[in-house]
Amino acid sequence: MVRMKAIGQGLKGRISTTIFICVTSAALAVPQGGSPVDRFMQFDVKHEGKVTRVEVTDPRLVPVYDAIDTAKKGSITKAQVIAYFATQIQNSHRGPGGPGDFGGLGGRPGGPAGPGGFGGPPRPGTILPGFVADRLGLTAVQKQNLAALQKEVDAKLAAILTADQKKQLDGMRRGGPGGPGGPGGFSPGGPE
Amino acid sequence: MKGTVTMLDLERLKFELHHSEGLMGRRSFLTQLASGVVVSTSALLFSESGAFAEQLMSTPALTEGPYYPDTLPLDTDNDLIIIRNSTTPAVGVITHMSGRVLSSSGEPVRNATVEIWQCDAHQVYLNTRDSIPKVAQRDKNFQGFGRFLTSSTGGYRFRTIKPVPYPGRTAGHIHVKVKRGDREMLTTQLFVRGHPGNATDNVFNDMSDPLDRELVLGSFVPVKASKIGELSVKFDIVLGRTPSDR
Repeated sequence: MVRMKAIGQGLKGRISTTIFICVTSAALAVPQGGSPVDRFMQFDVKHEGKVTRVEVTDPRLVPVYDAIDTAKKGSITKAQVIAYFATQIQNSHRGPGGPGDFGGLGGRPGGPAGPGGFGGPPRPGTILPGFVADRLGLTAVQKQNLAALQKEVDAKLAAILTADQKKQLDGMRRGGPGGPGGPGGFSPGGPE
Repeated sequence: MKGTVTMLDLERLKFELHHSEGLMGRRSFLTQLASGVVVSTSALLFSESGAFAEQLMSTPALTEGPYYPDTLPLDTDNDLIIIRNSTTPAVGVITHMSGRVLSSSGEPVRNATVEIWQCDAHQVYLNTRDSIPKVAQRDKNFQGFGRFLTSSTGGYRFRTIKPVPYPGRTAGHIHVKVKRGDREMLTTQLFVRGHPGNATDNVFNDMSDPLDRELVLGSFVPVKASKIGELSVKFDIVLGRTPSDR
């Protein structure tokens, strides 16, 4: 009985799946990479500078849409998307000396990001990025020691560089909180 | 044309049901699984297949970590709670994990092997580098590793435990690997949405893009019919394009 029900339901799912494959075999994939703003704005298929809920074709990302469209207006603007991801990044926590701040390509012409941005490799100067540390299976104590070492390296590196170079490096680090704390680099403002 | 496809599907479905029963044995949870998870998953497939029709973002690849099993267990089925015919289940919050493996254009990836592995409720992996030093600590009733061949809808399912943090990893996580034959398509990890340890977890935080984080977070929600507090989590895995995957 239960089995029959499962077959019935499963079949429905299968039929619909089969049909949609036929219909959508030419559908485009979302290009990977780029800033989260750019990635999310891929859903703006009409290039209107806004995204409606229906346009978010990846159901896993509808919650992101809903988190942005808190006023339930039915669509969200690129500015809202930018503001949302800036908040996301500022709210993210980093261990002291932790790897990989949010790097990326903010400040594109017309972009609102200023020096901030998203996406990219671990920041320059990281001794062991987190994924490497994980791969090595570092213990909690080792991680603490690593964090201390990172802090030392950061300090010594800062002493070597000129103010201008530090600024450049900070730019490469793309505004994330270098070492302990510091604001996320997605600075507000800048023309749309 | 639709009629032809449907008949083919019916035949395949019969085969798969038979096949999956073979994989899972005659365990009492099968009935539960069939009435709860399978039906709800099918319903989801039905309601969401249209939504999947266009653009999907690839699930980000994440580190395999040091503890992929160095020797596969005798039992590698999709029920990690019970090892072979044991009568003692694993310790932990039982979790039904299911989802589909899809291409970035939303097509199901069938006959892919989904493997999962995770530490037991006492934080021991099924890898001798971890399990031998911690032999007294480990939960001998947890299978630690399982695999499942995706159906023609790309579907897979496991019964496991809700993942717990591990020393050096503040976020509970389930390791996931997708293979086609011997070829590895993706290695990633599933995280628990809302878990406070995510914020300080180095692997989670290495994902610089909040969208990538979103794609590896799963909502572990109570199974309504369960009287023993079981959870379910849906984790759809989207494979990116690789040169050899034409």
